[in-house]
Amino acid sequence: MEVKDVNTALLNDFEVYQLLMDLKQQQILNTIMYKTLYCISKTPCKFKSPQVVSNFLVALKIHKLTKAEKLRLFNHRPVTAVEIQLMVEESEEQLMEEQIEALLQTMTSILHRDLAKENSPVFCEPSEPQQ
Amino acid sequence: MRTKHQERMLLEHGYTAQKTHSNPLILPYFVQMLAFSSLGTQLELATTFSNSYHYRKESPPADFPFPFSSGALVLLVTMFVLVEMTDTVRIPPWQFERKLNDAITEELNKKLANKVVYNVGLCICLYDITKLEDSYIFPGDGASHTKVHFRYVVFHPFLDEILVGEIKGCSLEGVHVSLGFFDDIIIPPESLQQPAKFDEAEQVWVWEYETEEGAHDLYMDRGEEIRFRVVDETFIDTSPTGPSSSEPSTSSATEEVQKKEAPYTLVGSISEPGLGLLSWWTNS
Repeated sequence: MEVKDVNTALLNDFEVYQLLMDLKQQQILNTIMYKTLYCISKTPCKFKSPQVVSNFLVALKIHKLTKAEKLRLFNHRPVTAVEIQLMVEESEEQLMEEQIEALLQTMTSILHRDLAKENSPVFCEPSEPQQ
Repeated sequence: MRTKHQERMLLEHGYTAQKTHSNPLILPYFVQMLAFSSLGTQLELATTFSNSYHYRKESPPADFPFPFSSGALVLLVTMFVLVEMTDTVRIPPWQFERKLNDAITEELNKKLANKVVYNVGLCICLYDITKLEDSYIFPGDGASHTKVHFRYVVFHPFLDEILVGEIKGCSLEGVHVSLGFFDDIIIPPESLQQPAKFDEAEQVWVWEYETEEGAHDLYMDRGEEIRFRVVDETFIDTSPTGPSSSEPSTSSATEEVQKKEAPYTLVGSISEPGLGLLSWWTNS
């Protein structure tokens, strides 16, 4: 066996989740795949969609982040400034406080919208017809 | 390098782990209020709140750990990469009735899934097959051999990556963390939030978090979710070695110890604000 390229591409949780879900439907999961799927299905990634991914990347363009940082933000969905400081390299130099705030706003508007609907009754839109 | 630099920055700017507040004890009431408001107002509220509760003025208001639908945010983030590989796959004759792609996928998953490839990472599952070369049948073997170019999903967090896992246990060596499918993560004592001590009686690490009212002991119990930064990785070649005739018999003991070693170990760190148990930084 030969390894040609150790890092062809980075995958985000959502992509791995989709791949594993496909395999699950074909019923060819082994233990490690099952455990991985179990793990990442606990993350908010299952509420994401390809549309969300592209929206997210477009929205982050103005912040000039590296690929790794964007991936981190996407996977973790930070909601506090202290989390952003962890995930963005040299955030004290790179980002002003207003920028961090703007970043948090972006995260909320794009990534959390679906999560909020799922989990928090506070954010639920009323008068959904029930069946 | 980065950590040191960041530490310096933190010191200059006057907020360190002790000042950015994490203690859940004080927060519950306000936190519930905050959860009902939109994020923008949360920030404002957080500011006023932090001033009124003798938070140090120089600590940035945004450091206030307000939760977004607390409890709902269970993060178990992991890092996967795609790795391009080639391999010659042997398909036994009784698999000939199947499609070649399916048979190869199964063989590759059988061979690689849940295995650590040296300096590559922990293999999870086949992503796709990019190219199939011609298949050959060799004399004396009924099986077909096909050279396959494929891409595999591999767990290999890059350095400085932030992951969230579960505490599997504590020992004098540090805190052992598990991601569910990957268990060999250790956070050594010097990388814990300082000052830390090991509670011998309960066999658990404790962060002696200091506030103005005195020190709080924050226990790092088993089963808690913990966010950490990957600071180092070690690959150990665990493939069997041939018998060494030159070495005396005493080496057998060390070899046995080596056998038990994990092929791929991650070293974590939580000595930064925002890292550590999730419950330290959000309020749940």
